[in-house]
Amino acid sequence: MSKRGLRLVALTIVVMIAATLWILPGSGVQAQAKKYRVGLVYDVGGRGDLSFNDMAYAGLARAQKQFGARIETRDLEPTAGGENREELLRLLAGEKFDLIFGIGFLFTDSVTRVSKDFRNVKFGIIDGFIPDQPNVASLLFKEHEGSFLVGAAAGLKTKTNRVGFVGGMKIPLIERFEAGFIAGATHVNPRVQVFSEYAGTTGEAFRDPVKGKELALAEYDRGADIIYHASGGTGIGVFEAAVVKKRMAIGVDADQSLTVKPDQRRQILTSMMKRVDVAVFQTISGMINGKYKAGVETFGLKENGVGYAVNEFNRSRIRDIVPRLEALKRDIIAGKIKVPEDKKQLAEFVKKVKR
Amino acid sequence: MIVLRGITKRFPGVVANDHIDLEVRRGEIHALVGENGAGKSTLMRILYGLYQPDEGTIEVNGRPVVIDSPRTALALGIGMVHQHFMLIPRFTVAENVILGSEPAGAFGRLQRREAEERVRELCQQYGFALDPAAEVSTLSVGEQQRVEIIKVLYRGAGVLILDEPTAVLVPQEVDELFVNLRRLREQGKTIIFISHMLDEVLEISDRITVLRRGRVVGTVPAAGTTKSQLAEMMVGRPVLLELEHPPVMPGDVRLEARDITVAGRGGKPAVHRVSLAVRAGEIYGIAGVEGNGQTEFVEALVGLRPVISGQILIDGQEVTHATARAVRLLGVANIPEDRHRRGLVLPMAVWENVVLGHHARRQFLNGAFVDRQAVESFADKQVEKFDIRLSSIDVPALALSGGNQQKVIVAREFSFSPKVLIAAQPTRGLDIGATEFVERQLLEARANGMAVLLISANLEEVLSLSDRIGVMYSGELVAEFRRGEATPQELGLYMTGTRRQTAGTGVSPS
Amino acid sequence: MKWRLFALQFATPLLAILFGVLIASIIVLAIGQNPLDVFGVLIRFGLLRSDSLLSILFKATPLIFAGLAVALSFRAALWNIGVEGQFYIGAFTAAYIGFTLKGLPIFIHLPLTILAAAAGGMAWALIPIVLKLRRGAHEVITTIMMNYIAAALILYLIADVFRDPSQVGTPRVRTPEFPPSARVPSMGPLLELFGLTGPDANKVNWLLPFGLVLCVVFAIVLSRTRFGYEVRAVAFSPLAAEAAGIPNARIQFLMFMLSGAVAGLVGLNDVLGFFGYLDIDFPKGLGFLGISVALLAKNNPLGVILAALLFGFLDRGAQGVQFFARTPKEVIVILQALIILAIVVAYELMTRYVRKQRKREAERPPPAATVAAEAGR
Repeated sequence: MSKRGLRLVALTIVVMIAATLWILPGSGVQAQAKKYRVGLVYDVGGRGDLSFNDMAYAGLARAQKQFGARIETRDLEPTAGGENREELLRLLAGEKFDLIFGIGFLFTDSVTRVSKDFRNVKFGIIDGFIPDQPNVASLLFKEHEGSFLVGAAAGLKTKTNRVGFVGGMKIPLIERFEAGFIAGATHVNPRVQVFSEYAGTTGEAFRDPVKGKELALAEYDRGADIIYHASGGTGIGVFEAAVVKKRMAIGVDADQSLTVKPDQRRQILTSMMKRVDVAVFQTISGMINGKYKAGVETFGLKENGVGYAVNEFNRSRIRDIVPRLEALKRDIIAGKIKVPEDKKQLAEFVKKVKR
Repeated sequence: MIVLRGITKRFPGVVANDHIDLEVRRGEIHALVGENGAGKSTLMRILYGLYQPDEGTIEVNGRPVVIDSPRTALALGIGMVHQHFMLIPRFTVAENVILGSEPAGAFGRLQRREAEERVRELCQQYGFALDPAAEVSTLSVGEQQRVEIIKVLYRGAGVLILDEPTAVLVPQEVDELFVNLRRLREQGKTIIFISHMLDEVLEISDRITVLRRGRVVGTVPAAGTTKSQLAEMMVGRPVLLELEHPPVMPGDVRLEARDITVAGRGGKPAVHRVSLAVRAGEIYGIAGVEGNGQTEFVEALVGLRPVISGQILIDGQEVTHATARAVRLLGVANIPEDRHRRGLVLPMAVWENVVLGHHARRQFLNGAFVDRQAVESFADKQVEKFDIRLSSIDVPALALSGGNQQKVIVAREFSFSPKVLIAAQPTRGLDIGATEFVERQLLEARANGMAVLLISANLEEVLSLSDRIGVMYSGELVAEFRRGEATPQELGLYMTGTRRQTAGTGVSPS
Repeated sequence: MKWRLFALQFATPLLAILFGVLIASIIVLAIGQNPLDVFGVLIRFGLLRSDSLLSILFKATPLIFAGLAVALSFRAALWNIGVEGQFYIGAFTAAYIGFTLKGLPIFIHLPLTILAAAAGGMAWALIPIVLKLRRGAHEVITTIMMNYIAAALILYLIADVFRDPSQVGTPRVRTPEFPPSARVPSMGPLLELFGLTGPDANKVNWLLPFGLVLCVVFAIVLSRTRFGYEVRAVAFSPLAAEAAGIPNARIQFLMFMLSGAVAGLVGLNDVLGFFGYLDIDFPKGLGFLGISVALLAKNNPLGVILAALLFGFLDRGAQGVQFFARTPKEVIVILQALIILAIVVAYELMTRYVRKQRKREAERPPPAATVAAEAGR
């Protein structure tokens, strides 16, 4: 019995040594002729969130398609808690990537640190504000402008004169969505009442569909017939609630009519598109054409960085209000309407409208 | 009528039965004796169809048979009365008897009246005093055993296997059982009687088969065989059955309980106003059926259970509310009843167990560290002195046999010159050799001037070792005798609560 | 016989790892990749790069504390599932002492900060153990509940009470930064002597050797001292310990407090050693990982070090596998879990085999038993 055990031990050691020898001589992925290497690290949630991260991927994929053999792309997902964001950035930088994106404001500190250690690598951060780093492009969006338009759509379409907003993490960024939405709805319909809820105060608030559904159901129960969510994966719960209550919802970041399940698709009025793909793509092409620019770059209605979605599923439903929305869009671009960005500006805006 | 030939049964690492030949004649009481692990129970389980032999054949009434289940055994007329009763307390005697072979009526209804009638007939036929309509929970242990026997008879058994039937009985009940067994024999039943109590075996059986280490040592007629012959066959060497009990002059009172009451489960006192005193050089035995407060009494004495009222004194010093540690430091050694749970930390090594409770003595410590060298040399000495059989003192206690485990405890408790020794069921589960060893140690302690309180369910042991004997019944000390004053039968009356000394604890040590 | 068993024991972890790798290979094959590629990357990337080695050390540091904390409670037959919550509280109390005290020299401020962390963890462990010893409330339930409370409490404290006022209006929800006197110095300068430089070397801080020393100290205390002896007795058989005069409750209380104190230190690697502030998004889940670490280590403090390093390696290696072998992240998580599970199972089987062999040898067979012993072969 024990002799057999001994033989087993010996065998194990031999196999392990053999396996190690087999593995060792190979080499890692080798860079071929000089190509631009573009890396991207997703926000928590990763690919398949049907929103923010997928949009970023779309931008990366478009660049890959457009520039073909001239670039090599790589996208990585952090762990569930996001603890290794920085390590992944560092890994890409260490592998001599030319341009590295961090998707989401949670990358702010990591990108700041890593960009200091790798001065010759270019970085792009979505939603993060790093204005003073010579190799970081901060790609921001005027979410309030896009939100204003979908708010106007909700204000025009509501039958109960009550609409709702479900935010993810309660931070100034998301409050911009809220402010724009309320302003837009009030602008076209001064009698409208807007309910506002947030899923939480941590990153978890973007990954909590159960909470999203709960909040949305509560708002529908209070009479809202259209709810706009700005809550990442939490929004899936909002759509589920819309299906249950047979009311409408407004998506965010991506054109969510295209990505959700068919029964949810019917409940989506439109989506506030935050064109992360545009930002990613433009930054990549800028680098390839030698026009990469560090510093803050803002994508608003004018830059086609935000907007509302029209697609084959909702076209008939919003056809009647599209002219009005387009008019508002022109007014905003022309500066005739100044969309509020925060609570204070919103209060003034609403006061003006109601007067 | 039953012939077993070459029965062999192996379990992983051990041969429980090794080519056993056994012949049981019709209408005899055939005893099967042997120490624990000799293979008695295994053999009977094979006969009852609970185990299958690896080798060997069984013949019943001259016909070779294969007994693959108890059902087959019963069909062949072989029934077994287990040591642990399998009765449903809330059912009546009759209901318990017919359980499993209920006579169903036209509509599947139990024919209770018919069953009761049948059970009553059986009782009359064999002279069993039992009320078929009584609920089992109201019966005494002896009566419950009778129900088990009737149950087997009801199923038509001609051969009854009784597994250690006397282990749970007091002397009076043993006597009644024997009367019943003889009556069954007169009516032509065959009885296989398993026991290791040699007196009983010699009294009841016609022939005796002795097993040792899975083999048959021999079969002898009861008539003309002596106890010491049997013991020698069992153990394989001569055994001193009667230990010498030289007179020792008792000294001062070492351990005294004054009128103590101890809480039990559910707030009811488990021990009620018990007083006793044990002197140096004296063994005080407490007899009694288990569960009558002995466990709680001992726990109270050694500081493991709170005392409600009364006083406990060691050497005149009050320790009523002292901790277990304090009591131990005053020189009270304790061989606990439950050696697996109270006496040893089974996963720990023998060298660690042999100082358990004394590990904090200066001799075993080196600052905050355990002086392993000191403990190991101490352990080695004890292993030598108490003949503990093991390959190394590094093995965990759980790897030892029951006898060796008990020796570890005895070694520990005797080693720190205690003044008082409280030994609860010290020989339970031990074979004759180990029993003899432990009893000898107790007598030696007495000779060395220790005060020994012995609690044992084994009446023979209490009678042979003690200078004085107290009987506990229902949490009270109902009688006290000097050595030689009481017969087992008398003690039995007190143990079952049939009689009590109203005078109380009137006997003082001489 | 003896040396064979010894060799077997030595080879057990190796066998266990091999078994884990085999099981994981099946999964890799199932998704259409070559296991040799994947494990090749795992080893090349995880073990043969200096930045990976440093990263493993950094990742292992909090796991050493977490695993040790859990192991200490397990050793006393207590289930401290609350290491997670205790570490939140410890991280907060450390942060509080870190950012409120100013102008102290590091040799006063830093020890105070670390003590605060231990005190925080102990305070959080106090409630469950008192409830257990006084009222018999099972510590598994109470510690889990305390985890929820701790999570909610420190979110509230960081976001609403002690939030760095200069960060209001940004997405940064965190306490003010600590002065350098409350930070654990990096081991970077020392590592530089070995030619290890860069940000990864700077992340490794002196908490790592502190954790190692702590493990060694506890290993000695538990195996060599009177206290360790009593802990073992209490854990294996509370009734026998009680009969031997060992104060069960006090021993369990002490061990649980020690567990809580060590748990309080889990967050320091990130908070004091890296960030220098307590962010609302600080790394979580380390306390639960500590349970796996302790189980893998069989509650042996020295084993905790190895198990923590293994976890760190698997975590770091996973990044390489994702990066170089392009294995989906989900598959990597499954692989990590499978390897750990397989190791635990294989280890258990081997240990049982060794134990059985030992038991067989335990009692010298009495002379007359040779027949039975022979027949037993």
